[in-house]
Amino acid sequence: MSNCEKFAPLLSAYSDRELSAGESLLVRQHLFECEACTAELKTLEGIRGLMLEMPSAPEPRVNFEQLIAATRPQTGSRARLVLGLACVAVVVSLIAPGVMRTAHIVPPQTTNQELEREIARDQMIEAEADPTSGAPLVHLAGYSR
Amino acid sequence: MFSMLKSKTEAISANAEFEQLMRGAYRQAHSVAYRLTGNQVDAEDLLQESFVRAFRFFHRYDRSLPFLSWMYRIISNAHIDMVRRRNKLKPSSLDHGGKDGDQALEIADLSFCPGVELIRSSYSDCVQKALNAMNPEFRMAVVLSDVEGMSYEEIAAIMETSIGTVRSRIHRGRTQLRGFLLKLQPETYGRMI
Ligand SMILES: [Zn+2]
Repeated sequence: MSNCEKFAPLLSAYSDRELSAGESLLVRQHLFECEACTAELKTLEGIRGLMLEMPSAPEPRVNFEQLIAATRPQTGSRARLVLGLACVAVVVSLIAPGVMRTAHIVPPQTTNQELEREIARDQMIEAEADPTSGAPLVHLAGYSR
Repeated sequence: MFSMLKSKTEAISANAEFEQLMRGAYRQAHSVAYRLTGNQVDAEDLLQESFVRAFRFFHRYDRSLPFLSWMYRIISNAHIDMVRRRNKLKPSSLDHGGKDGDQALEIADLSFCPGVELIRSSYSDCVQKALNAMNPEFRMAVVLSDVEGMSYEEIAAIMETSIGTVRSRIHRGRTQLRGFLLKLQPETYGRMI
């Protein structure tokens, strides 16, 4: 392995001052005698400079309360609870519609389809999969009350 | 009955703690999500997904790690999943990162980049485009280092890897970035970097 092959991968860490004192000294010695690596170091510092000059991110459009609200109905126990309550509610509502109001976790307008989506999403999270893949995404607006 | 009440009280206080920690981390989390994705829509999707995962796994949060670092870890993992999923959906895309991830996973839209008459904003658009084309692990390491100003040790803790790997990801990330910029605008960036 040539000296350049040995030292080139260390140049970013060198410019970030993330090498040990010993490594840093060896790189400095090599830079002293190698034009190619000196040019490479300058390029890498230029790249870092471009990153530093990036403007800061714009303000988030979605507010904190909406994001927090979106976390709440997604939990496994809750989704299962919702499903259970929904089944009970269907039966109970035939007999005594007023009782359903006690199951306030189920929003009054929640349909079975919405419940299925919530559960599908929940199962994907459980499987460490990303719920945005393929499965219909539950929009934030749905949770802002 | 008492234990049920106790666990309910604990759940409420965990929720309150989660909300308080999240409130403190939210803007920074959005800023990193934006830098990783390069646009508001994807940043918000990523942020929402990360909130959901964080809430779900909050009981596993190890307090020895700052909460913001833990959030960055979640965002990083969610972002890697997002990129991989999207690339899988694209028939012509590379569905692997090469044996050591040197190939970019995301296919960059290289069609637009400003010419010689660069204005500052479009020029940073160009850097963002090059960032978007970068392998997501490298991208996260570079963003944490160069935008968030974190040390390699902090980045290694966030990405659950060694400092040597962080060193390599940052170096190869910057090298990829240079390659993309030179491909986008050889004349402009050839002079600048
Ligand atoms: Zn050399």
